[in-house]
Amino acid sequence: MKKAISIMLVVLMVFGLAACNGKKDPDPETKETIKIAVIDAFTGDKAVNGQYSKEGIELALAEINEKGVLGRQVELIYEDGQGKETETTNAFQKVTAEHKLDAVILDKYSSDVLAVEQFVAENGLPTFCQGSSIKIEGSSTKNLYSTRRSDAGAGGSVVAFIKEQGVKKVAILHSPDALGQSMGKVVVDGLAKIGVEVVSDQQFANEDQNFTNYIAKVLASGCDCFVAIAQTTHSAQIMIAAQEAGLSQGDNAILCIGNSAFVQQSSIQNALEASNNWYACTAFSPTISLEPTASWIKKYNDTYGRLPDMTSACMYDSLKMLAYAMEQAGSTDPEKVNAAIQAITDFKGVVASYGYQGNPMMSKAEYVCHIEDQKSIVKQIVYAE
Amino acid sequence: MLYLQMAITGISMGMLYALMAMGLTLIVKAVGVLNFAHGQLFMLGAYLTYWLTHQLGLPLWGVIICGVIVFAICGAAYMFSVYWPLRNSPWKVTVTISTLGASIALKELVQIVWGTIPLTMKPIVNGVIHIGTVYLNYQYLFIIAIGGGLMALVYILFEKTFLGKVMQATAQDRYCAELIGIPTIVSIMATYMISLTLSGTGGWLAGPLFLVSSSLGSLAQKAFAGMVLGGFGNVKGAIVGCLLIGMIESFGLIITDAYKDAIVFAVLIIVLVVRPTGIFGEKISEKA
Repeated sequence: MKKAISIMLVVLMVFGLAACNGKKDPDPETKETIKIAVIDAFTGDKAVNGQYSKEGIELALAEINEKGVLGRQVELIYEDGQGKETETTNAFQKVTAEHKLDAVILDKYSSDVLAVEQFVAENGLPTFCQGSSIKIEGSSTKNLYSTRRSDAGAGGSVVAFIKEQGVKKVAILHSPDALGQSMGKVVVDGLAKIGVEVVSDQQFANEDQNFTNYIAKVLASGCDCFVAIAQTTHSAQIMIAAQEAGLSQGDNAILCIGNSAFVQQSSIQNALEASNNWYACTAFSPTISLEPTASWIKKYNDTYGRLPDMTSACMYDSLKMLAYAMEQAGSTDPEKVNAAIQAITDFKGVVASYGYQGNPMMSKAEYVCHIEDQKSIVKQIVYAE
Repeated sequence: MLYLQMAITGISMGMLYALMAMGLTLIVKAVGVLNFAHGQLFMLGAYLTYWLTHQLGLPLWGVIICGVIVFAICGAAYMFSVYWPLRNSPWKVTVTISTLGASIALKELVQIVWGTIPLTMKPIVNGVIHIGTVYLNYQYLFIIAIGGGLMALVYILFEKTFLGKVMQATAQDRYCAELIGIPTIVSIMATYMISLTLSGTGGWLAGPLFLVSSSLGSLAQKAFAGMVLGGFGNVKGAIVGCLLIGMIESFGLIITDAYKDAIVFAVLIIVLVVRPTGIFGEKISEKA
């Protein structure tokens, strides 16, 4: 009798433990929403980017939820990272702890992305970002993807453009963050290889508001080309200072080239006529006439009454690509979605065509734009090698 | 010629820091509180003048008159919301902590009202002088002129007028001032109004050069440094200290671009090691 009771208790215990430990198979018919966290600068000095991001991603969300993904609705959970490393790290940990997420989308600041990279690797969730740092390109985190080309690619495009223009002496001014450091180095090294002299290489501080003296040093250097690398918040100030100095416009104007921030709507709106005559290598321009980008720009303008910024387009593409990968995977299981993203070879986005190339950088093209009458006009398309 | 440009931009940046530092010092002297929201008050000044100039479309004289009135009202409102309710707190740093909270609140407030995109403000004085490779924006010269004028006005107010004497008396000993019938609440309120007018004017002058954005408040770091360098709690010291900071910052660029701010703060540390009370600090201790 005792033996029978013991066997029954053991059997019950085994079943009980199995019931507790057993993973519940995801019900394909479940109507639970697909939760995707969006971490960006929604407050603070860089909140302008968060605003454009939100507009772009909301546009994608509305389109996706018309049909749903795997029969489910997508829900975005916004978390404010303020465009700062510490705040982004806190936001990432908070949102991943509070919600059962299916994916994460991060902002465009490479330093923020690099700050949370280890957590991204640990949780395995498919994570899109807009960072372009060379460090992101070299990242071994297999579930991290960017909708941009790396700074090495963008820097290479700048060098190639300078070579085409027959420039002899270049002055560089760059930001102190991951973007400025990495792209600045690529440009300096690239110019050395093609025999162009760098007569001035300056780095400004994040807190700088006054660029007059930096530009004065550029003028004094006797350069015939000025390359500036900065985030959106500083690019307008640099363009204004360059115009005042007669560097970008007027009889003694020289070739002025910026990174993508210089042709973004927010920069042009602030610099106004000072933005004219600048060239920039950028992932996106709101004057692209190629489809499907042109139609999307029109839709964005009709919806929000203003043209999109690069960050709006990158966010739109990130969510669209995630939804596409989930459909392809037939699941929201992170491993399957990651495999589906890594199988992408030619996804037509509004920023560019995307394909997984063995590293996080998925964009396959970039544009050289020229600002004319406060509008960025595409002059060249540069494809990734 | 490059040095001339650096000198002028250095002096004008120093003037902007000095306008902030003067306001900071007046509040320190009046109520003994270090106002950490002063950079945001400077920023608020830029937004308010943007509102008067571009949204209400007032002419320059209208902006000046209405600006002073609006700054004064904001100064009084700031005092009654941030300082006055906490003035008798047993924990002395309560008001200082309250100013830290106010700095965050102000930053978010302007973004709610005016949006997150930086705003472009037309120059008050338009034009640039080119001398060889040197170029000077008239706005920098205007900052020097207006900054100098305001400093003279503050000197006259405190040294030559009855209101200034009342404010000085309140700053020196509030209890005694109340005993002789000085309405200290009015005196303190006037100090806040003047302080915000000085900072707000600084914001108005800086807005056309650096765009009107919430990051304008970051200029306060240099104002704090200038105030300490000149001698904490001394108006003359704050002005001299800030002008020095502006010049060091400007000429530091000749030596290094990446570490020019490090030079500014290295000079500050060296001065404080040699003279812990700052350049004019000794005179305060003598007075005390």
